[in-house]
Amino acid sequence: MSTVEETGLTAPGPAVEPPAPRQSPLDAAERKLGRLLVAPGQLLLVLLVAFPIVMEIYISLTAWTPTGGSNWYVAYRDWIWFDNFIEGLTSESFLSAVVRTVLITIVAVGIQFVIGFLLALLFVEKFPGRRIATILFLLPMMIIPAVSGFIWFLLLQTDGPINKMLSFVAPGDIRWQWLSDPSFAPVAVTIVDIWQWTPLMFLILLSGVMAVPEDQLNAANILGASYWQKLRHVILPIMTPIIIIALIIRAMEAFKIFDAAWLLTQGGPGEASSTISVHLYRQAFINSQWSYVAALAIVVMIGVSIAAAQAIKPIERRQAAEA
Amino acid sequence: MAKIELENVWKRFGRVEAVVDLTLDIPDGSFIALLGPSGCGKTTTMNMLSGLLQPTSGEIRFNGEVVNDLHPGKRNVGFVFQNYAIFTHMSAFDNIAFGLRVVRKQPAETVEREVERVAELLDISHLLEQRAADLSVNDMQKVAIGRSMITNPGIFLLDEPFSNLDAAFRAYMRAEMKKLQRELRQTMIYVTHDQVEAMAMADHIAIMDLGKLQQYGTPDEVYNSPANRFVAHFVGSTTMNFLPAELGATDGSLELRLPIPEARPIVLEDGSAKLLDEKGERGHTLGIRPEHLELLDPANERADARGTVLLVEPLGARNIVHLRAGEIDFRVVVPPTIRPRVGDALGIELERKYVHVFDDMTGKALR
Repeated sequence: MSTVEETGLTAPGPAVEPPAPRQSPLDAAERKLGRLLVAPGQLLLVLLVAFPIVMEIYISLTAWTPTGGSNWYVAYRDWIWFDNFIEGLTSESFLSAVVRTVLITIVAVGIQFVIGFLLALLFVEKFPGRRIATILFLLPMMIIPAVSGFIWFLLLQTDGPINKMLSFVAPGDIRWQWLSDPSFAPVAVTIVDIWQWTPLMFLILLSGVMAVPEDQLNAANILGASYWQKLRHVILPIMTPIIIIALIIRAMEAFKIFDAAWLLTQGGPGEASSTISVHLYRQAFINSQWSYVAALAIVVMIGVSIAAAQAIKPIERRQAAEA
Repeated sequence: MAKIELENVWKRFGRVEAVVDLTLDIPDGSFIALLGPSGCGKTTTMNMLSGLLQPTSGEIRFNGEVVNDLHPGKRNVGFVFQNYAIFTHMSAFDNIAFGLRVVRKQPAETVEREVERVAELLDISHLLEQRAADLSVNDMQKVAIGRSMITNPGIFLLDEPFSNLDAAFRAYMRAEMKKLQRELRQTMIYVTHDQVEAMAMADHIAIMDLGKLQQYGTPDEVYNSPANRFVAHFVGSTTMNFLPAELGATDGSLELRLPIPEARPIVLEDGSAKLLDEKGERGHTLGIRPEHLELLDPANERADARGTVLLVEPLGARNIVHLRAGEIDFRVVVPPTIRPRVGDALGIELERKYVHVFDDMTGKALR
C-alpha cells in the first residue's frame, strides 16, 4: 500500500457474468494438469490483487501509520474498528473533494463525449488528409499525463500564452488567475482532462460509428431519411452499447483524476481544486494517515463499483433480450 | 409509376470503367431484368438508378426529368438489397413502418393500417412483433421488401434479392414478386446473375458484360436471336454448342463446313449467303442450342454428322447426351425416353432454322 494508485481506486471493474459451466470432456488427470498449469498465474493474481485488498481492509480498521515505529502486521495493537470510516465520511474536506470530483467527471466526460462523437461522425466520411488528421487528434492522449500537466501549468500562467491568446480575441488585457483563483482552478483541471482524453473518446466512438452497417444507412437514405433521422433511428441505437462503455471507461478514469490537479495546483488554492485522489495523496504522504486513507479508498472503490454496475445494466438488459 | 431512360451513361471508378455508354429505355410499368456475370456493372447501374452513386457522364431520366443529382430519398424508388439491410435493432413492424413513421411522419393509425396491409400481402403478419435480427433470412427479405413497398415507390429496384435464400423459397418468391408487380403496376428492375430467374420473371432482359450492354430484348428474343456469342453462351440452362465452321456460298445459299470427317455441309437456303460477302473470309463459329439437335440412327441419311456417346446426364425431365464427333463435342438435350448407352454410335441432325453464325473477330451474330 504505497502509492495512491494502489489504494483500491483502480476498482476491479464490473463483474462479468461467468459463462454457464460446460461439460468438460477432460478426465481427472488432465484436469489436475490443467490446474497445475494455471496455478502460477492464479498465485500472481492473489499476490497482486487479493493480498493488497486484504491488507488494506486490515489497516483501515486500525490507527496504524508508517511513522508510528511498528510494522504493519502488528497494526492490530491500534485496533479502532470503524473510526477511520466515520472520520472520513464526516470530513468536510473529503466530502467536498468527492462532490468536486463528481462535478469535474460529469462536465469533463460530458464535453469529451459531445466533441468526440461529433468528430467521430465527421471522420467517418472520407476526406483528403483524414489519416493525418486522425493521428493529430490522437496526439494529446499519447503524451504522458505528468508532462501534459506541466505543459498546461506553463500555458495557464497569468502571463502565459492562454491569457495572451484570449486577449487577442476578447476586448481588454485578460489576466485570469487560472491556477490561483479558487473558481478558475477546478475549470483549469477540467480543461486539461478534456484536452487529454477527448481523443480516447473519439477513438472508441469512431470505431463504433464505423461499425454501423453501411447498407442500413443506404436503406435509410433511399427511404428518404434525413441525416438527423438516420442519426436518431439508426446510428445511435446501434451504437448505444459502445457509447455506454466509452462513458464508463472515461468516467472511471476521470474519477481518479490526479496528475493534472496535482501538477497545476496541488489541489489548491486551499482545497479549491482538490479531487479525491489529491485528497488521499495529501493524507497519505503529507499527513501520513495511512489507515485513514485505506478506509477512504475502500469507500471510493465500493462507490465506483456500484456506479459502474448500474451504468452497465442497459447493456446487460440488451444482451439478455438478444439471447 | 415511372418511365426510366438511361442515355449514354458512364461510370468510372478511377481507371476502372464499371458502366460503359449504357443507353436503355424502360417503359412505365414494365418488369426488367438486368442480367450478367458478377462484375458486369449491373449493381453499379442499380446504385446509379437509386441515387447512391452518381454517373460520371450521361443522363438518367425518370418520366423525362433528369435525376442525376437527385437525392436517393427524393427519387421515390424502393430498393431491396441482396443482404436485406434491415434495421437489426428494430422489430419487423418498426422496420416496415420506417418510411411512413420516421420519414413521412404519418399519424400512428395510418402507419399501423399500412404496415398491416403490407404484412398481409407478404404473409408476415404473425412476425411483426419479433426483433428483425431474430427472423429467418427468408422472412428478413420479406420484411425488407415490405419496408420498400410501404411508401408506394414508382420504381422498385431489386438487387439480387433472392440469391441468399434457399432454392424452394426462391422459386416461390419469384412467382410472388411477379404477381405483386402485376398488381401494383410499378416499374420493376431486377438484378440477377441467374438467367433462369431473368427469363422467368422479366418482360425485357438487359444483358450486360464488362460494363457494356450486350442485348436488350424480350426473353424470347435473347434466347432465340442472341445478338452475340456472349449472350448466346450466357442464356440457356444447357450451354449452346459452339463449332468452328468454314463458310462458303453455293447458288445464293450459305454453306457451313464443319471440321468433322464425313460430315455433311450445313446449307442454309434463306438468303444467308449475303452475310459472306460482307464478312469476307474471317473465321466463324456455328452455334446451336442442345435442344435443337436431333439424335438419329447412324445409318439415317438425314444425319449431318456421326458421333459416339461419351456420357449421359439423366435430369428426370430430360436427358443431356454428350457425344464426340471427330474432335468436336456436342451436348444434346433429349426427352427422358431417349437414353442411349455410352459408346453407342449415333447420327446428329442440326435443325436449320436454329443455326446461329458468329463472327470470331467481333463475336457478333450474323444470323
